[in-house]
Amino acid sequence: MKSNHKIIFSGPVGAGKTTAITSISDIPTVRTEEAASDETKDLKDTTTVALDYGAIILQDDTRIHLYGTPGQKRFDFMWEILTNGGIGLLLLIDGSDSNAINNLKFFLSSFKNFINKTSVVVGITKQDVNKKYNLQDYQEVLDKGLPVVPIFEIDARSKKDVSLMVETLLYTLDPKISI
Amino acid sequence: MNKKTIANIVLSNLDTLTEQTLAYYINSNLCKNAKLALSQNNIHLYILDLDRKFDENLIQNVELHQQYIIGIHLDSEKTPLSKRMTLVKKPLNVSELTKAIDKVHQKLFKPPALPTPNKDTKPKQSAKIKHKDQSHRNLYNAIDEENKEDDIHLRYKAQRYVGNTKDVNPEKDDLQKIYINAENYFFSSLIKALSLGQEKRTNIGIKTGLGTLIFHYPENVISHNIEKNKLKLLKTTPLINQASLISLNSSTAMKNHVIDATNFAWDTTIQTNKGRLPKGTNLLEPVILLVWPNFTKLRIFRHAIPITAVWSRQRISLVETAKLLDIPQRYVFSLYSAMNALAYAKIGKFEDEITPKNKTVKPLPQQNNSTLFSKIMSHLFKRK
Repeated sequence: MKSNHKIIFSGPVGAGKTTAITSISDIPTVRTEEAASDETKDLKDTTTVALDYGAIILQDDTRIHLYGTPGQKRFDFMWEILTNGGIGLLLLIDGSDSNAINNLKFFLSSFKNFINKTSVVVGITKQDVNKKYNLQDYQEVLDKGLPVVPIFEIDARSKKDVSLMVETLLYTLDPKISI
Repeated sequence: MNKKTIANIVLSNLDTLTEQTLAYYINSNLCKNAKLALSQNNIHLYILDLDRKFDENLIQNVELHQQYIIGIHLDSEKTPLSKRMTLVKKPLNVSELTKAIDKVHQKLFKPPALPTPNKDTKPKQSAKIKHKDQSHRNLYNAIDEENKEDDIHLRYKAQRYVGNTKDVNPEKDDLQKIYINAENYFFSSLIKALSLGQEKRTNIGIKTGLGTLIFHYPENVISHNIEKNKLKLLKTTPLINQASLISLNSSTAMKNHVIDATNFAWDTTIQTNKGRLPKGTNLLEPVILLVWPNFTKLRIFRHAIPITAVWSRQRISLVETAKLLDIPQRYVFSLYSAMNALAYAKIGKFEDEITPKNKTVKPLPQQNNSTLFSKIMSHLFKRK
């Protein structure tokens, strides 16, 4: 059965988008990685230049597409295309990056229209590696009004953590989901 | 459950302690199919100690009135004294006893056999999900299984956290049963210690009658040498003497057991409150969610995420939240108590909030994807 349901994973380079998709995808993740050439090469050897793709395949064969946006800001023209028709956004921020707070602000602002129409859950990764900020520091960046954005410390390799992000995303869209 | 389908039990020929324990069990949420008989007119089942002298006419009477007996005994070779008797061996195991009661209940109220359903009448298989492979969802599982009558252990586990307090009507009912006086319990001192340590940026000792716990500020951990059973006692029973807090220097050595402080405070609050609320909590004023708890690290229980999701989108009272989600109030109260203790949520009016922007209520987006979302969730948490 064909479907156009998709969940978007976004965030800066090295935040763990590809890893997070891989951890819950039912198919091998399609990666469009290339050798890093710009400032990215200081962060990692290869990086996503177009998008990552994975999928959750439900029992009735419905596919939930998992799209990872490229992390570099110069690819931001891709973001709007990718989010079109998306269920919601999972935003990953590398907690070991000293620029993490600014990254959070930047991505929330970049996806503002999409978030307003849908919902967002933020996952701070690598907090156990080299934590630069506490969770409260990230929470303080957010608007104090409604909706209150969920922010969790996550391990992108953990299916449990990424699944919890998806679960939270879906409940913020419809708290009355029956399971 | 319909009152007519509850088995009425008489406790007979038991020693005082066993009788009290069984009465407590039967009155609790653990025993869903039976209650203590209020009169001699409608007795379904006797629980009888066969190791003590008893009136043997009872057996004849039971057969005459088509009642049942659960006979408790020590003797491993014991055979039932009647076809209407089920034996349960001592020491009593809650699971075995519940099975025996449920078996009698089934005999008493089993509906007459129906013709085999054809395809059209066959009930659809429930889409209920299993989460047992998710370690962080242990408690979620427990509570998810609360109504599974064949699994007494899980039901018991659930009750440990959310209690069994029935829903209240704030305008009619006596609300005392849903309130807890936090000052009388250890978790109150614990929360104060965490707050004090963070404020003064120092380690704090929490001195209790059962031992001292230390909050290590820089690492955000609690360390202690208190035995598991004593710690449980400390968490769940009112303190005779208030715990005292002392500032310690930063080089204080860690004790044997080290736990994340936020986790410990969260668990302790839930285990103490058991579905009750801090005294005076207004049930009708809206909940203000300040931040989402870090649910990947904290113990979560059933409905915790949808409840928080509701509060993240709208200002709604505790009672209305339970009504909106169609869940028992104790789940909402349990979560709120823990969130309030850790300053994740509070009760307030719109006027309490600082900026006009905060007063904007963003309605929940209209969703036509509920079925799809249910399927995704089931898929993500299905048992491998």
